[in-house]
Amino acid sequence: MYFNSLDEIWRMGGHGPFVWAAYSLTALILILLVVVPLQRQRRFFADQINSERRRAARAQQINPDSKMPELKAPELKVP
Amino acid sequence: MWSFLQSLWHKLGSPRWFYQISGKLLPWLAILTPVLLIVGAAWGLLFVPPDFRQGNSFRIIYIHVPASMLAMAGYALMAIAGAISLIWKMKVAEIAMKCAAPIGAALTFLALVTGSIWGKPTWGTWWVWDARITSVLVLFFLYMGVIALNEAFENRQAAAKACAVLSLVGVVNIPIIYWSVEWWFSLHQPATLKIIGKSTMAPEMLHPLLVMILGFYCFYALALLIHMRAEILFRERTTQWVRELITQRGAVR
Repeated sequence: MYFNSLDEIWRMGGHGPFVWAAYSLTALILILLVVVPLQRQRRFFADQINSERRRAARAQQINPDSKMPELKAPELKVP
Repeated sequence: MWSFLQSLWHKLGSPRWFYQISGKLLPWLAILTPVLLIVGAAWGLLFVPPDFRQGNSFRIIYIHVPASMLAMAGYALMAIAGAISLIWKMKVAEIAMKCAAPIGAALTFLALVTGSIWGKPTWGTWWVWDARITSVLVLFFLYMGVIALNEAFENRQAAAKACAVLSLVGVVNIPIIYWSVEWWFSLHQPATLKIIGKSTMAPEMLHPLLVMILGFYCFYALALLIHMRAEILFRERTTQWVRELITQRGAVR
């Protein structure tokens, strides 16, 4: 190790703020570049599974013999 | 050999095949990338002695140089993918071109900002309008142009065509960036690493840089694959194989 103490690592002879700012920004951007598409994929699966379930529920309303999970249909309110 | 290459070429055209193969590659990249980046960064930040002229600020080289290299290599990849999608109408190439743009833009932004942060203690200024820095700024605008153009079209095929043409025209900028420090007088220091000839860097400083460059290449591959897989799922959402993936996921829940 080149430095002798944590304080020296932090200050780096006056260049610390520059070096650490550059490295933290890099870490942030690299993490975002991976997390954003993963999040997008997760949302895609969640949306598709939801719409699949809704479709199954509708099918069950039309044909009650189909073996789909029971879901309550929205009630129609007549004023 | 030829028939193998031919069958590989045809398989590459299939988003489904690409999704499956990339899924096998992904765990390895997901392990290798953080290991290389953390080892390289710790080595460069803590163990290498400071530069005798620039002091500790030179440690920014370990992110600035790899980010700049990938910003340029990523552009070449985007342009090649664009050319393939123009000529052969290959779906996977079109997706690769679209996904390379935001990653490249982010890396170019990183190269510009880390360079600027490095410039302040070294040159005494955050920014100069010299050939190297200006041509990298043009690279950033080219990436943003491809992103904007892709969003501007309602029709996906028209968007892909326009993006491919723009990225191919922009390739002119790559050799300009590369040789700008030699063609024009510049504040920017000349290349530290050279493909031909000896590098102008002490080996103890060079080795962590090589680790970081390898780490950034792995990161690029990882980020591109993840982006492409999300895009493939979305575009192929009505196909049999994606429906099956969705029901599998739904059953697990």
